[in-house]
Amino acid sequence: MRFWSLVRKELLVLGRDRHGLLVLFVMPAIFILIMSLAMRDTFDRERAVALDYLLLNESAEPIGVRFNEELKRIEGFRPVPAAAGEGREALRRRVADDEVKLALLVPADFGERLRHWNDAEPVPVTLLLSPSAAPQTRLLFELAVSQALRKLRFEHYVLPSLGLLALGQEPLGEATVSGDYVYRDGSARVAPTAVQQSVPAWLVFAMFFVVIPLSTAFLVEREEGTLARLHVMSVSPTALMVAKVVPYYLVNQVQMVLMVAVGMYLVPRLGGDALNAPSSWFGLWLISSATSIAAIGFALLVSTVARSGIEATTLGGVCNIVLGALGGVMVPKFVMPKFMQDLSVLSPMSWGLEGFFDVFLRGSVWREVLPEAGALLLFGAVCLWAASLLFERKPRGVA
Amino acid sequence: MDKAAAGRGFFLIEIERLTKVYARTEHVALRDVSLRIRRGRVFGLLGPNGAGKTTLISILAGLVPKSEGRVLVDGLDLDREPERIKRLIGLVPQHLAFYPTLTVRENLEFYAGILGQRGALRRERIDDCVAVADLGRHLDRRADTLSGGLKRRLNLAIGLLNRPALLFLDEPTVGIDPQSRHFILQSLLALKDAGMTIVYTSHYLEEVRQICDDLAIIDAGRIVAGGTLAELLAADGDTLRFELEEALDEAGQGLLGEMLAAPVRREGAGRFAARVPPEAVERLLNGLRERGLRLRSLHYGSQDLERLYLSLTSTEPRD
Repeated sequence: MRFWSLVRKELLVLGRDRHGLLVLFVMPAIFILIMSLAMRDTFDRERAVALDYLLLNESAEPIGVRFNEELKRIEGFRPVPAAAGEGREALRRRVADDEVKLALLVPADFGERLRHWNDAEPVPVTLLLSPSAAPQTRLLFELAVSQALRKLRFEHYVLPSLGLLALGQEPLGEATVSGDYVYRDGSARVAPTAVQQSVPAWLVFAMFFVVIPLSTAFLVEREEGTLARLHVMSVSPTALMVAKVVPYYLVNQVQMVLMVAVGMYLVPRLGGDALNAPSSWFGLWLISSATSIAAIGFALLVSTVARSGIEATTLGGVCNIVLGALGGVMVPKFVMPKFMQDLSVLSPMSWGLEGFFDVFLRGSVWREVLPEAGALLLFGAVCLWAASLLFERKPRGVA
Repeated sequence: MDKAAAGRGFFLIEIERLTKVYARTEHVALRDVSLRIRRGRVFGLLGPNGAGKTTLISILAGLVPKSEGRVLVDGLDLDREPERIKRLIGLVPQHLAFYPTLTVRENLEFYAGILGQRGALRRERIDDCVAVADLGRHLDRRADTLSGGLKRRLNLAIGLLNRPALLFLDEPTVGIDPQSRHFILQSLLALKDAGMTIVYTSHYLEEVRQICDDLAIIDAGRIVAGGTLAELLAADGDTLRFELEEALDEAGQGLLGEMLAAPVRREGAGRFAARVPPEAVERLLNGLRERGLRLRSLHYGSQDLERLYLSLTSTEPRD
């Protein structure tokens, strides 16, 4: 009897714990929704959206045209012909800017060189890769293009040897695909690694998690009457809020330094790949500062909306996980379907992530992180403004 | 109170027809409250939970805006000069309003810094407050490791850092042992002797009796009684309270009124009260005997503060 009373009590308490229910049921439901939609195309062959890549085929010969046809047959990758007059440099720029993940360049003398082949010097078909392209994507695409090239050779080399060569055809040499990562600063670097992708993602996520300590401290101050006491001492609500920005900004910068140091020095010591140094230290500071302001503004907004410490922790935590999932922290954006990629733009974590990718992956100079940094600063400012407006309106008695 | 002596400077706080309605809930927390608090005295504010005490203090401290009425503190209008009024005020809230992970010294230094105190002035103010609250041996302890009594003393010390002319204390002795309570009450009396005006709310009527010069009883947002303790008790001096073993109906209550030749009010099952001259007591006793009604208890004249408080605010527990 006593046991069932305990069970009943537990169910009643749990049933009335709105925050517990939110964490137990609503958060996983939202998470499942976002992650399922984000990864839909990764697992669904039927609905998979092909990855667009730029194709600049400078070969006007029949063999070049034939190669185009083979490229169109590759599943999962869709060639988008380069615009008229768009040369190699323009394509290189578009890939470096991450407009597209891949670009394939076929030289004008493709057919000529294939016909006068030399085993020691295979004809190069150049693949340009954005540093944010996944290694698996590169591998798959290189394999598919190589297969297309082998098919051409089969038609022109193996068949003749069997006496099956069609009239007018002649044997062809070997061509290879050589992939190059393209960086904004034009530098030649090693290929980006997992650590290059994961450090920015988890750094942004960690920075936004200041919402937990900040809102908890803020709510304790409010509940325990400390804020009322400070108010009687003529401390304005705005001053109270702005004073919280400075220490948490420093905390975020320490996080950034520590996580970059872990990526650069600790991970390689443990056998992993090292994080490459950012292309611009000033750009790194800029995007890190802007992400921090956005995270702190958001945390202060949560602190003023929430009515208790537990509510702030739950709300802040759930919002962060949702924004992270949506913003490409947990699943890279390029594997998401198009509409999810469009939606991810709504998450400030996505802006921060793009900014960090700029300096860690794309070899950007500081000016190139300004759009993301500006958006984050604007978001942070709007959050701060809304938080101080709400805070002004909160009742603040002595108890 | 000595109304003849009323005038500019005699009262530190003057409240006229103060009303507070919380907009969101439309709850009327204070209704037409008028009050004057003498300078250099301890003023006790009594009332059950939800009576409006905290709202009143919050308005006086500039934390909550009033809906209607006028408040003067040291002659300054709360509407026009709230910041100057705040400089006169020290607040000791019911909650322990300090940072538990900081030490006693760090807490005091933080609040002194907030008050703009620097250098020698800061040291002097902190030393004074430490002496008043006797915290000298605990300065380097984290606040969350202090005993309940020490925490209350730190809460008090912080409220004194700006040497306020007016100190608000909202139930400052909740949950502490008699020794600590005694220490705090003695400290408050010493502060009063030094000229400080203290507004004190508490549910401990014995404390109020011990340290308050004047008091007001507030219930459902209204002041139901006010004055010095002696005045309040004397005003109730001609009240006869008695309890019968039988619970009478309305007719029976009317009969009691006839015996006493005065209106009788019911204060509970079988309990009645009436304001009558002393000779009415004998009439009541004779009347009850003739009608075979048995008396359980009888009290005539001024009573203690607790009985007065309960009679004015009723014995029903508050939600």
